[in-house]
Amino acid sequence: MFGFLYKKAKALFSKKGTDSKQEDFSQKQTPVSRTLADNIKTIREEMLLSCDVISREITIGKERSTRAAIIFIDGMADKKIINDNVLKPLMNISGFPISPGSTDRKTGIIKVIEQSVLAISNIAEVQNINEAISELLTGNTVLFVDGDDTALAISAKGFEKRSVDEPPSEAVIRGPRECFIEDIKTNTSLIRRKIKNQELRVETMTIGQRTRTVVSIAYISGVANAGLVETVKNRLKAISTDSILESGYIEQFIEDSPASIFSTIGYTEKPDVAAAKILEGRVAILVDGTPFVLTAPMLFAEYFQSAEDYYFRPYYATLLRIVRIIAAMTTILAPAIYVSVTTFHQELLPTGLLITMASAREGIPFPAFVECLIMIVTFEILREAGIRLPRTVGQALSIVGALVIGESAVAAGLIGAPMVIFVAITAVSSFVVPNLIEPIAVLRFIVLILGSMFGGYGITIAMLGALVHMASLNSFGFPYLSPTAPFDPGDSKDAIVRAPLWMMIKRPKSVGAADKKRRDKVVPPPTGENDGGEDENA
Amino acid sequence: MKTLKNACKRLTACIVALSVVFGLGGCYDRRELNTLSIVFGTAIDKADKKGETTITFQIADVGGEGKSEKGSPKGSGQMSTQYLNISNTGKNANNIIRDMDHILSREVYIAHNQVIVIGEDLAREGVRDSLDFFARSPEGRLNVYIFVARGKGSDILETEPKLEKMPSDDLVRTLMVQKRTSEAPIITEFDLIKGLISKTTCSIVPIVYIKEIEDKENVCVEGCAVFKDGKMIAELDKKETRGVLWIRNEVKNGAFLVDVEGTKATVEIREARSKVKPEIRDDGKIVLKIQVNAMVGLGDQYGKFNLSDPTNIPEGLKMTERAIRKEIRNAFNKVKAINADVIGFGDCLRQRYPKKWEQVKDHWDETFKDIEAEITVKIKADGNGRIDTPLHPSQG
Repeated sequence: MFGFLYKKAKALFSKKGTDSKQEDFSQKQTPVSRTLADNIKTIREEMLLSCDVISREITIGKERSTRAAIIFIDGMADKKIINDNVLKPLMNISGFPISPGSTDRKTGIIKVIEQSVLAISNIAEVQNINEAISELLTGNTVLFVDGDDTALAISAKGFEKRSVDEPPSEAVIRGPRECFIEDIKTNTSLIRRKIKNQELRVETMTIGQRTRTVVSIAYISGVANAGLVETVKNRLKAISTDSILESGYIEQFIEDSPASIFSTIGYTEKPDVAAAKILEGRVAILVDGTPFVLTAPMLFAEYFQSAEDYYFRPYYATLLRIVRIIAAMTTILAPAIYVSVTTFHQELLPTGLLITMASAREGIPFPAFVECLIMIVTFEILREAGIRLPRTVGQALSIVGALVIGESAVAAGLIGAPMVIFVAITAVSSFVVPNLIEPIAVLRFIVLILGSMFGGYGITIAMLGALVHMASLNSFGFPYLSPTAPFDPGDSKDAIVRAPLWMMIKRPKSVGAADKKRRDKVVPPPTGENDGGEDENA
Repeated sequence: MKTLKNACKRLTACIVALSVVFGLGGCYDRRELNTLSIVFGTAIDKADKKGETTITFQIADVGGEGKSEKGSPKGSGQMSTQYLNISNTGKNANNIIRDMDHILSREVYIAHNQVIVIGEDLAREGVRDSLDFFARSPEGRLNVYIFVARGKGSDILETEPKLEKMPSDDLVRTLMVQKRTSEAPIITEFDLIKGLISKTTCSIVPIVYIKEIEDKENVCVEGCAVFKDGKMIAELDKKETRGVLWIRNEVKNGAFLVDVEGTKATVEIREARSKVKPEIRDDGKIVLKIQVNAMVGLGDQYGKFNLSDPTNIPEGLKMTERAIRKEIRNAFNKVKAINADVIGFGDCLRQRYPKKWEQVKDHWDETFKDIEAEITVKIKADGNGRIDTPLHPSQG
């Protein structure tokens, strides 16, 4: 039977593979014509006469001997730059020395314009129309000069972008408050500002046949594992899709275990976190159009790490990590344990609590499992609604939510009071490890269902299954559960425990950094005594 | 495609493994909390008809909606426990309990049973068979406290509790509190079972009875019943019980009334430890060496003789030592008189002198009667409280 299923699935997948049309836009090559009007016409036609393509025809110089045109997409180009640095110099230049018909590449008119007229920092020569169009689409302005078969792509992008703001999903008490934005250029600069090292390498490619999204990878070439960088690049190159709208798309195309509920690629919207990961030897993948930057490889332990861990004192940071682990376990297990204990293992409850729970359950029409399911689903609904709904009606929702989940449901005899507590704990705990919310929500249901069917035995099996599954995962070739399994004592000082920074000499082995050491030896901070002595001497 | 094939293979393996895992799982016995009669106390009595027993269960009436009389808000989950005692008579315990299903709307659940009170009649007849079910059933626990009731066990469970909400809870808490007096043993089902299956050791079980104080019925836990061969053969009063507990190293606290130079003083035991060692004398006689070490403090004193005075302390200690020794001696003599090895001396001897044990084991009862005890008591003074002179004018 499974063989049959397998064949069906295979057929289904392979059909999908061949059906998708692999249109390669860069393959059609139309050279730039020497006639200005032809070029404008070709571009307009290629762009299907879109209204936001603006072309402006001018004559160069005071002599008005040569005609030229700039083409750009409305809203994507900075008009002020075009006016001041392109149009003005072109129009005002006097004594334009070159005869319009010159075909000499080196002394041709276009070369002169590029080299001595345009006050623009970033200019590229374009030989064919398709190239010109793709430059246009990225926001650049294209300059055609009559009589020359080379066009200039002038980088004068200017589109609306958000300012660097506070990270909404990773709020911190202590630490930088800046957040990546949708513009990839700003994002790479944010990382570069953290790591002022010439070895920090940013490589860029375009992915998505239709969206042509700019994707950059950033890593420190001396630190990141060369094999890892190669793997990331190869996987990115292998992506075949027409659209990349968010880094989540990339993640799903390049992750190791697409079928898993666990993510094997991390994401962050904080530049300091991205920089820290890059410094550990990871590779960051930045995608234009989203503030979420991917980091790879991602290990399970990273779920419990937070940027603040490294800014706080190590004791508190360690305590916080333990709290996070407890919270994660709570939010997975609490409903299942409640249901299994009240329906299978009543003997586990302290006697006093048993009476309380029994009297709370008195008159509840549903089995504990259904009761629990109602509450958890209600909570998920409220959570989802809370994210989606407009701010203005938020208050109404929180009142209704508090009443539904709280007093009223109990008073109506729909659910028992202890269940409210358990679901509340579950809900609150789930926000402690925000990145884990996705896998946890799924896991919670699995554990709950097995727990309610088979009691503690079912919970054990479910958790064991999850553990085995996690142990089988790897992220870009690195075991998901390291440094716990396989155990690495060196890396363990940044897993559950966060050792003082001065003790962490080595980069984590579990991501295979090429440059293994951060520095050569343990240098404890100077003690107060030594400082005082030096002061006196001075 | 290869990964897909692998994935399918893995999925198959997972499904097979999980079906085995869950197919073999044998705890498919889910039951909701509101389908259980949660038993908190059990009484086992001899029934009128010969060979039959009556089992009484005290069941928590968890106070469903509309039923709560004491005015606790509906479904608030507050403790509004009332109880229901339900009895059934029959031959075998399991049978009797099964038959309760005919009269109870919820299935009996004994995992939270806290006490088993055995009626005196049944105790004298023998408890081995009656306790079989409670020892065998995996649902019931072995840390259930066992009592023997003077009279009927079910009467104890009917007594209106004073502070607690349920008589069985009241009973357990009383037992725990009286630990401070060391005048009744604390015996769990496990302890009793150990005694029942031992060849030589006899068990002691605390006695509970209804004491009327100003026309009010109170349960009272003191003294103990001695079980030999599964039957209750004698009762020990509270002083004798403490004597036995000294030997068993179970005295932790307690108080003595000691007369020193005409002053009556209460001496508190603060800390106590005792060691029992069998020894064989040259003439082949077995001697039980009992050594008691204790810390005592002065509780109060009625009289002028200042027991807090360092010069008088040795006198006080001497009298206390004498009192303790006397208590142990009395208990030991009593135990020998009823010929019940409640100390576990037989087992002790077997472990220490296996050869000697082989000689005496067949006539252990007679041997036990001849055993002599050597009692050493060493006590230390441990404080006299806040005042160091009695509340009399000082002598000058």
